[in-house]
Amino acid sequence: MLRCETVKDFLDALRDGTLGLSEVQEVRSHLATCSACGRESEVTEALRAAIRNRVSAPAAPAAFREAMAHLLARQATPMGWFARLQEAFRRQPVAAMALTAAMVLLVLVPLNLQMLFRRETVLPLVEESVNEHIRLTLHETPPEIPIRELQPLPVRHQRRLELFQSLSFPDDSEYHVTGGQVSYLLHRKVLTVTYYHRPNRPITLLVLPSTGIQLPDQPIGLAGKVYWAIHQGFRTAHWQQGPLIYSLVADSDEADLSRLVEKLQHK
Amino acid sequence: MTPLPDSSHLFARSLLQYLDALYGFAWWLTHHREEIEDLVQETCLRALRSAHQFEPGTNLKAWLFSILEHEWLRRQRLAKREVQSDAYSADPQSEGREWAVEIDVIRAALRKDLDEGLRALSEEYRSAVLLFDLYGFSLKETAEILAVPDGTVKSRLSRGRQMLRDKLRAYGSGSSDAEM
Ligand SMILES: [Zn+2]
Repeated sequence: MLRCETVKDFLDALRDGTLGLSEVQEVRSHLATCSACGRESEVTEALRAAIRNRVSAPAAPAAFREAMAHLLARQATPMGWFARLQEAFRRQPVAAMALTAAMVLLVLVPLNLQMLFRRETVLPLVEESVNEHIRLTLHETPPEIPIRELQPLPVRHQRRLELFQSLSFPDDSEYHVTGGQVSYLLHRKVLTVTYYHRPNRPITLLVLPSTGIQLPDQPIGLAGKVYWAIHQGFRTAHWQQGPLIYSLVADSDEADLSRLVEKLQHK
Repeated sequence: MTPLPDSSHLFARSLLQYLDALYGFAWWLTHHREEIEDLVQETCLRALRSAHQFEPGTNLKAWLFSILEHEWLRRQRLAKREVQSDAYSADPQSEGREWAVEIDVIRAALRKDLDEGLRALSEEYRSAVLLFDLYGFSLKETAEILAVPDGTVKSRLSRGRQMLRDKLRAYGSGSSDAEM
């Protein structure tokens, strides 16, 4: 004869259909003879029915569904090499760095060809910046140079840190730098800095040499000559400052990004 | 030359069919729309990237829910938000309650009461109840999504439901008092 405590435990397994035949029979006969367990089971069933029939959460809004469909369709293709590269970075960062340089060469050529056949042309700079942002924000491991714990840093990072510091705003809690790294983008060395704007709203800044990169002509707006784009659901801003190109990528709104553009231009 | 069928595009399309369910579950975790969209987007992108890890024939929906739950917990840790579990103590009234009355209270519970009651539960209890009782995942799937042992799911389910029953009874008696 089953104890009441055991029966209570078995009830969900019974609903699940994961009990053995003999256990099912034992539970059933217990429920038939023990009124306490019978009632308990009935109350739980009523509660489950109430939850199933009357509880609901909102469905995804149409605009969000559309954006996701677009994003996923775009993401579906380049993932093969992308995922492999990400994996390589996790295992062997140094070798992967060299590999990236080689892969950027290999990958950019077909990407450029592919772009000829797209209805709207996406600047390689925009596309690669967004990819870099996705790669960095999906990273489980902390950035190569975490700014917040910068005391015991190896000497080889010291100069990079000076660079980071010139891009950080210690007094501004809205845009605080959490880290960065140096890697390769469009055949160039690129300095990447991550700002945590609001919780879970990282902004990626990429700084790279401007040689050979032509930004489309833009009207001069409040924040100077800035080229704005939206790619794969991310908002990007690009501008030239002396010999350097600055690219920002985020899923924040334009106003949030504009403020950072201005701060960086007046640093 | 025949191009190979693009499996990643097919996979991306099958993700979309669970968008509402993912969105709904994220809605229970946070009421901030931006955060919900962020979570769901991240979940889909992660799923797409690790599509090769998905075993065909197993439950895609459960797999997606476990990615979402994992991502949510990761963010909670990043934001240093503590997931607090409030200590559970049985309602002293519940011992001598009328069983028939309780069934009536539950059957009469409005959507609003159920929503409020569920939302008042701490996250670990609420998620167990929602995954098993609302979304219909099995005990094993629920345990995998929440990354806890089966026994933990069972105890969270029973405590969560008990707390929900106590809340519903409190709402029920509250509203009838007000009418008198
Ligand atoms: Zn019993």
